[in-house]
Amino acid sequence: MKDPRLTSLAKNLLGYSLELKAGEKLLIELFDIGENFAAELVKEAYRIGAKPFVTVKSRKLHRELLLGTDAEHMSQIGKYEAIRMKDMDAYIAVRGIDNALEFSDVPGENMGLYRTNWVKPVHYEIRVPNTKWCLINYPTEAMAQAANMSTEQFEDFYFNVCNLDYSKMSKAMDPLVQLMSKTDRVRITGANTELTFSIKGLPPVKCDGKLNIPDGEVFSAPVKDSVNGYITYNTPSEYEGKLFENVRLEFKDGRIIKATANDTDAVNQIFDTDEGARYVGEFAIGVNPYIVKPMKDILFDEKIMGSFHFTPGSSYENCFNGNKSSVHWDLVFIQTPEYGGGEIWFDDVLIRKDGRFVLPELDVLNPENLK
Amino acid sequence: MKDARVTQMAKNLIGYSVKLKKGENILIEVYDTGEELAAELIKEVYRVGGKPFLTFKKRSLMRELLLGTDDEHMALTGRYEAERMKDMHAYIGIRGPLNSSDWSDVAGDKMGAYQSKWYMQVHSEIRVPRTRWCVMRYPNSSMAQMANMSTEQFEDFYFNVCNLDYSKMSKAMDPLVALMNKTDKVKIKGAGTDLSFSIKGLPAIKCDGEANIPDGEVYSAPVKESVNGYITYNTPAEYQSYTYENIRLEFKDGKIINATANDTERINKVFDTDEGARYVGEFAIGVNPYIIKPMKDTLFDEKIMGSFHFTPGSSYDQCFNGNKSAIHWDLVCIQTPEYGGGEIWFDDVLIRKDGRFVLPELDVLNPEKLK
Repeated sequence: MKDPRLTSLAKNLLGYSLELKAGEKLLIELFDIGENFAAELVKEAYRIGAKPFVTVKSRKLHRELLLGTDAEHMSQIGKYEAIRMKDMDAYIAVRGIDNALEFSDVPGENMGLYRTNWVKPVHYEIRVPNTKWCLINYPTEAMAQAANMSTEQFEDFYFNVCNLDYSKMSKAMDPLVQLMSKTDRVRITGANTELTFSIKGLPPVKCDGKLNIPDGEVFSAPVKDSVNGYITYNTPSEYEGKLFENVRLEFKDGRIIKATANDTDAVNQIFDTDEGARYVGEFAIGVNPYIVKPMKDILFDEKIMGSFHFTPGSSYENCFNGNKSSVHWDLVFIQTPEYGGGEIWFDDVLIRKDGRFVLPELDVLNPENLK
Repeated sequence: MKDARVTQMAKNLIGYSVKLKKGENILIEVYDTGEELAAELIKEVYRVGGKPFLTFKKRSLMRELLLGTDDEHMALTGRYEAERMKDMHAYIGIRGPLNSSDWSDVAGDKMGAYQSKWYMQVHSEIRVPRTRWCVMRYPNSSMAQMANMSTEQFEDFYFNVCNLDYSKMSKAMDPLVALMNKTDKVKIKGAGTDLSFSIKGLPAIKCDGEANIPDGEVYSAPVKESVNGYITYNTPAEYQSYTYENIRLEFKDGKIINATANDTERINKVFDTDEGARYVGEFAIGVNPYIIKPMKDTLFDEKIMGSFHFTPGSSYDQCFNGNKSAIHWDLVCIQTPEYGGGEIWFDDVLIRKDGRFVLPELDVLNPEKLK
């Protein structure tokens, strides 16, 4: 059956997110579920006059391939995929997850071979730098379950979130970007949270539906050694298949000097991965008006309206604070009243209280103005 | 859930059908369903020390691609696939269409572009001549319905047929091959059937589970202009989505001079496709002991025990009688008592009566000997 919301999502993704033009080549990569949606993308690509290519991946079979692989084998597959990828002008991944933990019993060494010899040459060396790309999750039973919702309720939520007017959101983000660009000191308060740091000289970046769907955050990064105080995240977070709760971090001159959680040993192991794992690489403000509670999927949770995330690990190239790490763990704190409230101050001016922007020029980002 | 019969089939396919060796590359191509078998194949490939590669095709998405395609687009898609195919030593195609009529609304010129620019480039020019390949169906509800069976019943049937000891069958075929190679005159009798032709000088070839699963036939071809008499096929046959029944052909010096069926006008159009369509390109004897009734899928029906097929259209390169045509239509006549009986005579010696081989040296091919 055809859901008309899939048709409009396909139009938004190819028209707005990817700005696909006639004659351009588009690779559609489908993981597990979302065939109906991929079909709409093919139709829309043809309507624009572009050339669609399709590759379907079954994560169950992917797992079997990974279980017995070696470096040469992964490079060979990477080579075949690279031949196609380098002809592409645009790329869209549709990820319809059947079981989020399908790779949980693939040994870390094999996952490493996969990342280094297949993902890196195809995606990081060709797709990311050379194509217009976009990643999207497709709503499945597995995702609905992770969000504690019925499948129908989750689908309604999903299409609200994904068919949002992202061009409107993009414009509404401009005043926040301007303000952050001239901000030095940030102070954040909330339940068991009292944090200060500087974002001086680090350029804020809009995430406005061009690369990820759903979207809705403006991110920057703290000056590496400027973070002091403590934070108690109020959102559960999955990391490599393990669920963490009540993560509390204490900082001195940018470094995590104390970390506790539901599993304090495990959380410290993550922060001991490398030197950069104890420093923060990203600070971001979430504004998606339809995402109001966590669902253990970071692509959604980090965009919760009234939230921010403060991310131990490496910082992005387009907002680089000097911190490098193989960890980049988006930990989320929600400041809406339901989650205990909280405040964000820029240079001693209150800009957001209990999840709502209080400065007049930022009112455009409050949820009722984005819907 | 894992079905032990799938594991067994994977072992047979890798070990017997494609005879994969250590260090060899094999491409596994899945259409729609058959993921369980593909997973077992990957495991088995690793077990023998081979390298598995995988491509997953969704026929509904291929249909979308075909609806808007052109020659250049198909050629490019084919090129990406050809790059991979030319590195392969072996190939297994698992075809489990969810709806066998999925492409029925794709325009003829688009199907033509697919056939000539994509399929030919990858399969006819590389896979068939250069790899050890095997193509099979996969049991799903769509196929069970076509066979008028419950899905479970169909699965039982399928695994009996596919997990047969094909190496035993292959040896059992040798005496028939030897006999056919020295045979000149063939006479076939049955209800509404009295046919004579020569197979002199045309080699007999075994189809013993190496290239197709299910399998079980020995084929040759009639000397092109030697066919005289008439035949009434007792098995329904599909051609371009139309089911023909009660097909009766009358031959004079190899040529079909009179053809009738449930739609006589339509069937004559098929035989008017080109000059070769009115001559016969193949004569084959079916011996699969588990296939005993027709299910409107030629890959199964042509192997029915006690049947033969007599095929208007082009003949194969390995047994070429000079006839070329765009059609190759395997029409089946079953000679078991349930289907009216019948006789096959080679050089005036009765070799099969009512579907059972009567010569002592051919007894190995009777069904109870092959199970």
